[in-house]
Amino acid sequence: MKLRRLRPVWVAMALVLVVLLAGAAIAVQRYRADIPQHFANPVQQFKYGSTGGDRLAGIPIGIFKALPRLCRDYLPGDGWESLGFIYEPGMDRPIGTSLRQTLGLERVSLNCATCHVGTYRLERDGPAVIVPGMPANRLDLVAFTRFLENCMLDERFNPWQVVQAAEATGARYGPVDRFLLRYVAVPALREAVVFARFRLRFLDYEVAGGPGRFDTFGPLKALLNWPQELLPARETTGIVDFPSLWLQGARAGMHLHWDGNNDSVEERNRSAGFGTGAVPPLADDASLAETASWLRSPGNVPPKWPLPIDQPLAARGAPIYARLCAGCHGASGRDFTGAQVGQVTPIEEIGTDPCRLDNYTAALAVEQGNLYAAYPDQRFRHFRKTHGYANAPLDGVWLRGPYLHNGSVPTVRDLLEPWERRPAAFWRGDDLIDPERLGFVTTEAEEHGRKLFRFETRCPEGSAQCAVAANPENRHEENTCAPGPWAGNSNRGHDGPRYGTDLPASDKDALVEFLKTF
Amino acid sequence: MGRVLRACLLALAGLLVLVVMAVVGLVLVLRPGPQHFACDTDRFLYGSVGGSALGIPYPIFMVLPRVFPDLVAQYATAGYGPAKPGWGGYGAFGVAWEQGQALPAGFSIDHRVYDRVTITCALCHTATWRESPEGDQHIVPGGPAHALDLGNLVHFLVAAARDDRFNSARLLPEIALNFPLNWVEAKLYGWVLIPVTRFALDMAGRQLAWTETRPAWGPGRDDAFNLPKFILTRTPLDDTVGNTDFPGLWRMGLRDGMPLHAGGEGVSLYGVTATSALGVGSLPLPGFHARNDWIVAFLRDLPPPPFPAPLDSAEVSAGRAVYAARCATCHEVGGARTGTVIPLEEIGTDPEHVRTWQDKDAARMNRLTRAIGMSDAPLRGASGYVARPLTGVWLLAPYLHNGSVPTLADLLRAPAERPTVFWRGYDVLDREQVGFVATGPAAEAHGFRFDTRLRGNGNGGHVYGTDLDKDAKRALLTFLKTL
Repeated sequence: MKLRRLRPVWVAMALVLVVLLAGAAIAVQRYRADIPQHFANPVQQFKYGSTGGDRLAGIPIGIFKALPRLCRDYLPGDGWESLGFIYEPGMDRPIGTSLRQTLGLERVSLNCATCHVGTYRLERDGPAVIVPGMPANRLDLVAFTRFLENCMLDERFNPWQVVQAAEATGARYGPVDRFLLRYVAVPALREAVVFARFRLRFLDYEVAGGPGRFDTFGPLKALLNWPQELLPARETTGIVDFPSLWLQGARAGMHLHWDGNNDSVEERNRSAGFGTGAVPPLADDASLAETASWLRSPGNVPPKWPLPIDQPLAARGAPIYARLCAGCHGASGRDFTGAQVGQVTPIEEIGTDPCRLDNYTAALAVEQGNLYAAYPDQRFRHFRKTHGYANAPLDGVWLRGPYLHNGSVPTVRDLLEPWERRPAAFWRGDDLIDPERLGFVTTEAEEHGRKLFRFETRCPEGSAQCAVAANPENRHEENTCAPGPWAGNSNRGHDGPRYGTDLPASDKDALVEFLKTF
Repeated sequence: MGRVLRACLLALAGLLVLVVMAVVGLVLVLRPGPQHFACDTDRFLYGSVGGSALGIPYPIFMVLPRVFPDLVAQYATAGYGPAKPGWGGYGAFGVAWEQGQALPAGFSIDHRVYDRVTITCALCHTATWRESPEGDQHIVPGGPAHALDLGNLVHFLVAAARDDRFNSARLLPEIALNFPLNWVEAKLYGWVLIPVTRFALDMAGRQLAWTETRPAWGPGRDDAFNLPKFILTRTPLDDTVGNTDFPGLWRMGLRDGMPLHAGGEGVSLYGVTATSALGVGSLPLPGFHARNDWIVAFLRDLPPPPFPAPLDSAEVSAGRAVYAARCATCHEVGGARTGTVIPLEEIGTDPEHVRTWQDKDAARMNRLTRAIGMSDAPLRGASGYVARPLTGVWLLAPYLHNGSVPTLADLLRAPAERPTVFWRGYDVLDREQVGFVATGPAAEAHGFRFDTRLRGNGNGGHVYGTDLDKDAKRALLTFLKTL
């Protein structure tokens, strides 16, 4: 065929076809692309990298930034900071969020650092020091969940206002993006929140979380869609403190989680990934592996106690620690040797609040066995129902307050008192170090105008809710969880001569000083 | 040759080729995939016996309790006390599920074209027990699955299939949370496997409709011979009730050559194994014989676990004497009547099981099995109940073929003094009475209410030893724990 014989109409059609194909190719590339924001520095990657959960639950970044202003009345203060999220200079999203381009949108979701990066300060008006691997002592994850539910089911969360609010934060959208946000992202988010509000209803059955705590295994029951309203009351409270994530390599073989229900660090990591939405088909294995590798690297250690230590006093505490504590908690803050370290102490013996223990059942353990079942090599094999709480090493103990698995004892010094003399109520969510008692300041109701969380270990006298509880502490003599409005918050246990609560005050002070070296 | 005839022949040949291809294809799809196990016990618990005829695609099987938690709650607790858990997936149906395993004992994953869950011998023949309500569950291969509620489990699956939610739109997203499905797989599940599974479960429900008007199997039992009679041999429904306890399968070598099954229906270890395998959906395809031979070999010497507490040796020897005098003739290996069928008039236990499987029923079954190439697996009609060796008897509760007597101590009481109503399926050991805790608040709260006045549940008969004095009974109970 000779060129001159081509009619212009064919040429035009060919051109249109080429343009259409190119457009389709660009669209496919754009909307099929799956690009997580990645950081070369492992600590940055831990703080801002993706678990893959953003593929499931990612919120378009413009909307994420707009939410606090769109629904200001559902927040205790301005911005995500009011829920305890931490911002670093130079980042436009808080620590513990990841960013991934999927479905043509940049989407934000939570990651490991949400619950495992915290802050401390030495003076009320001093700077907050950000510590990776430290429990997120100020983050109120339950309140975050409630906020998303309230805001996204509010009438303001409609396609027009959401896009408007997103653009008000500085986002610039083309017509295609705007269309996607309005008619895909907004309805999908609402749908997701309706789903989440139903599945996460376990939060309705337990005591208020407050900053630094969440129900670890509730999301799992949600994924399995257990009929939560049918569960016996003693199994419904699973709220616990976020743990620290330092020195995971040295924890190999220990019983992990508060009740020691898994002795594989690797499985524990994957299980925790669920909490960020990284369900098996969506998990970003490469990124999770990077995080895991950082967590077990020798560089992942808690910071040193930043104030002077009274060396003679600490030296006097050392033998007391060696005699009473080292067997269960390790020889030091770096040397975790000890006959009982990482083992489970039976509940009858440790006597701490039993609710978290009862919350994890053999029925749940076996169902976990088929969660990753499509991947036989990665399937959970190590979850076991235990009958007590695990003895954890104390690395960085000064940054891990409040103490015990449920965060019911404000300071180390309080933990060395018999339970009757421990504070019955205190405030959580302050990051100001209490250098005398070791832990955070828990005696003030607010800091810088921010209201702190009042933590009740038992029914306050005269409380109307106490009338319904047979036992003001919500626990039975035989150490099973008794339901009630404060179930899970008891500050009993870890008490008696074996635990040093009968030592003279000077010995306790020496022990506290020694623990600053951890 | 005429053109028409040639065309007909050609068409016929083509059809034949298609049929052969379809059969070969089905065989290729349905034969079990390769599996590897660390030990024989694991193979028994989790290894396929080729039950693909009753297989359910794994992703579908896995998400059903998540899509239908209300039906789990309804069916797992039907007939039970108020504290029976109605959650925990398939765990709610009393299966023996080891912590750390993907599936309970008795479920195997066959991979061929698509993953499917098939059931195995271990489903009904793995026992569980606990020392105390808060204690860990022990899992015992070869023991009777006395807590497994097979009837409720099947009714749950059927109810799910008949529910509006059993469709691709609801199941696929739930599957996607756990299984990565590519486009082709998503279509395979959405267009074929989900609808076919739904149809098959509904059909199974229709085949089992007769169970709904008879006394519930309850935990630890099924209607062992009405199942093949009504379903496999298409015998017209009659009014029999053959609810029978799952037996223990330890040291089957001792019973080689004895009549097997409760009523002596079985002739050989191989035959019983092969027909039972057929019952879990294992068709006599290549590999069938070798697999059943392996099962027989495994069960030949499989020991029961020892009683989990020290026993007083003086009591044991006193009890041995009582046993020798009163029980050994029928229950000791080598006893004059051990392994014989004791006629109904003599044993006096509930007659319903015998009524379900007469010689004519056995003949019908044998015609069927011969036709599919299983002539080495004949069955007989029942005429009474087999006196068995008492291997592992402490874990065989409840007692008698229909599980109508909760403990050995009760069995040594006159029938009128045995409990009329008790609760089954609560797997906490009763060391004193020997059996499981079957009465009292805990059993009533967790267990299945078993009424001995219902058809097939009679607790009469076997009055042997009921006349012993208190000390002799106690000594005998202690001795029986050693078996």
